[in-house]
Amino acid sequence: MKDERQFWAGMMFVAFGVITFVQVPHYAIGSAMHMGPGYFPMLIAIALVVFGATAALRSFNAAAPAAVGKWPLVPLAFVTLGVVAFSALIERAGLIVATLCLILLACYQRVVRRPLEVAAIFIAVAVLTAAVFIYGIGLPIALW
Amino acid sequence: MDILQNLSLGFHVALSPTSLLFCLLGALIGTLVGILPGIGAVTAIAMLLPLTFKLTPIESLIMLSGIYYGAHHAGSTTAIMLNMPGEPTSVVICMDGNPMARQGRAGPALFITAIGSFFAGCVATLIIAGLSPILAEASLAFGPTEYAAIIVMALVIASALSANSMITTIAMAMLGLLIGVVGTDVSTGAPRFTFGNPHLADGVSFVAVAVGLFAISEIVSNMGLTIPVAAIGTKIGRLLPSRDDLMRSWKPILRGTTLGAAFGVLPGTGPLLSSFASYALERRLAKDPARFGHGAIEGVAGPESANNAAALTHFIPMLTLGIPAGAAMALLLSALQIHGIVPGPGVVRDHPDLFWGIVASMWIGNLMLLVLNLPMVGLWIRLLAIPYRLLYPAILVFSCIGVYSVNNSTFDVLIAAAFGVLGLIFKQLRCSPAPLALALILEPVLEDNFRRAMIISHGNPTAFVTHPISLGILILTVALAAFFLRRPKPGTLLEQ
Repeated sequence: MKDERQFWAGMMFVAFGVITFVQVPHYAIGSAMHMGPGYFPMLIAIALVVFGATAALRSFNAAAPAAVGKWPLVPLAFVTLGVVAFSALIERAGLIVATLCLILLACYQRVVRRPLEVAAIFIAVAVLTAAVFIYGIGLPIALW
Repeated sequence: MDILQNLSLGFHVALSPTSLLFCLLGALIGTLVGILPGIGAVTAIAMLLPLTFKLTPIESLIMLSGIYYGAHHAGSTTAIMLNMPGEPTSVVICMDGNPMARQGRAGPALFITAIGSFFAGCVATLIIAGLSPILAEASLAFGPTEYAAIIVMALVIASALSANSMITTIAMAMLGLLIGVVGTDVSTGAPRFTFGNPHLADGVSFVAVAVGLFAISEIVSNMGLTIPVAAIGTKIGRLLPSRDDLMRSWKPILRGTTLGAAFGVLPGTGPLLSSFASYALERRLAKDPARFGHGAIEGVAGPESANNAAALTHFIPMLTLGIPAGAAMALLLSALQIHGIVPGPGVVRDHPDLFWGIVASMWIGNLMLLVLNLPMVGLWIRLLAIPYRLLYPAILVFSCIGVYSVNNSTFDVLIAAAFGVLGLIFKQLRCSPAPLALALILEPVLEDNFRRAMIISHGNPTAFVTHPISLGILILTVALAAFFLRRPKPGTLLEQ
């Protein structure tokens, strides 16, 4: 294949289409005149498979070869973990703890090397969010 | 006379002290995020959405629109001074704006963009005021068939304009439709693709998807890079343009405004198209095209006017048909929905104070931008010295609070995390996320109208080509898609 990016994009669409298509029988399809809840998803699933397969096939004839770039897996893991932690903590432990965890994880590269910088970011963000969102507009979020 | 009356109602609303305050706040924040690289209008609106919950719909929309056009406007400042588009739409300004700055003519370049933007803003405001009520009236003649056709048009054109392969972009729109299906089926009340999860009964939160795709994945891919902190050496120099500059600029400003306003009305186009088209036009009309790319002021004046005209006239399809032009606008639409206002032909009729208030506030906002940007440009540029590594943790926290607070749902934050991962995959595979976002927000309207159209036509899909208006829309779609596909894409031009 010449354009790896387009090939894998195509495969991704095919995969989404197939996953949807096997789910469709759980829903009533109905007819074109009286569409059930499954009719429109079925059309989309077919379209995804068709477009995805076409994209994958055409990737072999791409004008210029293209490879998928390097994946920033480590930042992705830390940022995702941080957002998940925020979601888990915001109601249980409050805004301050959730913010702290998110910032620690998002700043994983410098927590050890530049602890003061991270602490400064945390304090600034915590003060700002607490002032604006909790005291300012009174969002129903606990500080602690 | 009707327009005058309506405009006076609008100015009555927009000139109230609170409206002015939120307009200023929006323009300020928009300028800020437009200048700071790494925060786009989408992220900014998502971050600040919670601020609007306590406001009236008018105040919140005035502020959010201010962020929207403020960001568009300010993006060109960094493009000129630092060759760095603060917003994706200002890439075109880099091509001649930055060479001008390097020749010591940053002042005139900034001045012309400010004047061009302001002029385009004034014209666009008038066009919105004149055209929207007519369009809203006309769209009452739209049946479900026509409505479905025009949404298809928006999705196809948005896909044709993407710098990436059209087929993957269309597939992205399909994926957006698929995500839009999740939730309770409106016609039958049956839950679809919710996998028994009650949090999905109302569908996937658009704000969460937008934050995942545009904020989180952007941060992840920027973290690995060291974003160059701007060297703030460029002198602004004399601000006022020379007579020659003005003579060269006024026609491009007029042409750019016309072009931007015309494209802006079409659903599915983004401001990037307009500024790009204006640049191409100016280069073709120029007596000496070789000057372009080396600091031709026409290449700054035209695209900047087109950009701002389109950014504003996009409000026409958005407010009268409920069809946003891009991801940032889609977020504005969902902000309206949070406030219980369904954009569509009814807005002009049922909420005249909202509609005309926003139109008037856009003009006021553009005036504010003129005042904010020119004298304070040195101050704004200094903000660029803030390194990205200090900014992104704050962006993450604010975005997460924004997502959470829309429904007070921790599940929505998880959705944002998941779409952050997906967004990175899309980025790596060169799939544009904007059509997905557009399709996601339009899915309920599209499906509803599609199903109703099919009931009316007794299940005969040829109804879409036998209804004259729908046929016209579809022909226009094919013609425009073919036209855009044969042109060099904005993205490819920049790679040359």
